[in-house]
Amino acid sequence: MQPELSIPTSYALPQRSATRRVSRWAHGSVPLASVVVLLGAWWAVTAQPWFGPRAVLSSFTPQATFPVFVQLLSQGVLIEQGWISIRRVLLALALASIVGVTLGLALGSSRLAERTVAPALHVVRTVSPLSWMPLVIMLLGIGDLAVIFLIAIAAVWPVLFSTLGGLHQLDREWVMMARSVGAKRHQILFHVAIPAVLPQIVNGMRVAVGLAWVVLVPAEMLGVTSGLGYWLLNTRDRLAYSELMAVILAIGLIGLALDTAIRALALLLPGARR
Amino acid sequence: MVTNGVGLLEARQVWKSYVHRRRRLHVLRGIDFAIRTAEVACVIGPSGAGKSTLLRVMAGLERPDAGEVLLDGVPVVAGSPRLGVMFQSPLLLPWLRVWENVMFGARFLPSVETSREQALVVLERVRLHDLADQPVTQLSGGQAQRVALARALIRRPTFLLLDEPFNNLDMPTRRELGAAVRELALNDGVGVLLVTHDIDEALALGDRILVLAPEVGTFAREFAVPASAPARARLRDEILATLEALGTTAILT
Repeated sequence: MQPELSIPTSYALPQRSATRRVSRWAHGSVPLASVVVLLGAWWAVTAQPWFGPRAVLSSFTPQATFPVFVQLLSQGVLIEQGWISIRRVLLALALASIVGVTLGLALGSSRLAERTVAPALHVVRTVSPLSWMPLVIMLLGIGDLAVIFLIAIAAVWPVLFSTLGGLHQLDREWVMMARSVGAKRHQILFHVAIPAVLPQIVNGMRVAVGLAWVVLVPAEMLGVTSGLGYWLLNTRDRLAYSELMAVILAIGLIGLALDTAIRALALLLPGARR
Repeated sequence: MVTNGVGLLEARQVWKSYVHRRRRLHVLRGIDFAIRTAEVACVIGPSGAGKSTLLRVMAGLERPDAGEVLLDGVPVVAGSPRLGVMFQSPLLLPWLRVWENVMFGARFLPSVETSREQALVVLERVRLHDLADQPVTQLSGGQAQRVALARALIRRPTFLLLDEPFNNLDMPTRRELGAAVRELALNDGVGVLLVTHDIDEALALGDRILVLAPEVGTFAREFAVPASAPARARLRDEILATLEALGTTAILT
């Protein structure tokens, strides 16, 4: 055992305060309140006579939608179609994350590479993902692959630019400290840069989830015969408006669940200790 | 024993310059000096005199334009296993716990064991072992600098290079950490290069004081620090007079 250095201890760890408990409660209840307000607004708007003819209007009300939602759920339609859509979104997100993080790290590690490539990426980024539809169908045909590819095109940008932005903000002193303990370039990347930008990557993925879910519906209108986007078209063609509203409700709820899941996942990452 | 050897860390005719707003600024101009194990050499000088640049060059973190830095005759490279470096801020990695930050100091060294137990032994030396599993975000400034010291010590360095590490700490913590560094030189034989702008800190901790002259880029004077308090007070006046002659007294007390 080595002798202690003459340094007295003075530790006082911060205690969890009552204020913190209250703010945590408030933090959890505010999103719930906003959903209640949204449902109330839905009910209030569809109850107004100026909204449309009573016969058509009645199909769009929450009163008509919720029983159909429960029915579609119990029949397994929403679960089956929802899972197909979720699977497509998750595969597209995985693809977008791999490409976005890799490209972001590569560009962020070299100023020359960033200066050369970034302008071209900004040009491509400004093109709506749906503009690629005809080209993607020609290249990949109609089916899962085309849908996943289109979603990935929409989702890749926030991941890429969040990673790049994170690297720009990386404390250069950390890099110097890592060099002082003998870390080589690739070790600095894996042990300092990536953990440091992880919160930005997760934020980028949260934005990507939102975009992916938005692009999913039009992408699933591309001739595929499954998924919530397809089901939306199907209900419209059958004039089944309560079903249409139930599917919209399902899309919204799954989007919220995905966002919550990714935030929960972020808390499990080492960066959450910061 | 903390150190992994005895030796001499020397700068030979070290020149270093930067380009700032299209102007080349010569920060170090032919610096020649050496530190031995078991001594504390303090480099003082005002902000912008090139103290931190000198330390980074000595640590191998910056390459000199000319000249060389040698450790027992071998050119120093960044991350040399015989060097430990502490910076102005602790630079702890917030995603790692206290013991993991300590272990980070030896993570890339094949010769040093990188177990939790080893980190705990070093943390015990800086009396932080019972905070080993805490996130570093919960530490005070002084505790964080102790972790940074432990991160440097786990490498069992022959030389410890300190770039104003006590700057942002309160006076009692400064004194405690300063005493710890002094002990490392006296008891463990570590050679310490302490860069500071605090003349009293240099007098309290150093065996030698080297005054880096701003704009000139070389050492203006070198003083041996005497043991007795009155002699140190006289030396303080002498150093102040030297600095006054250089036109730089403002920040040194």
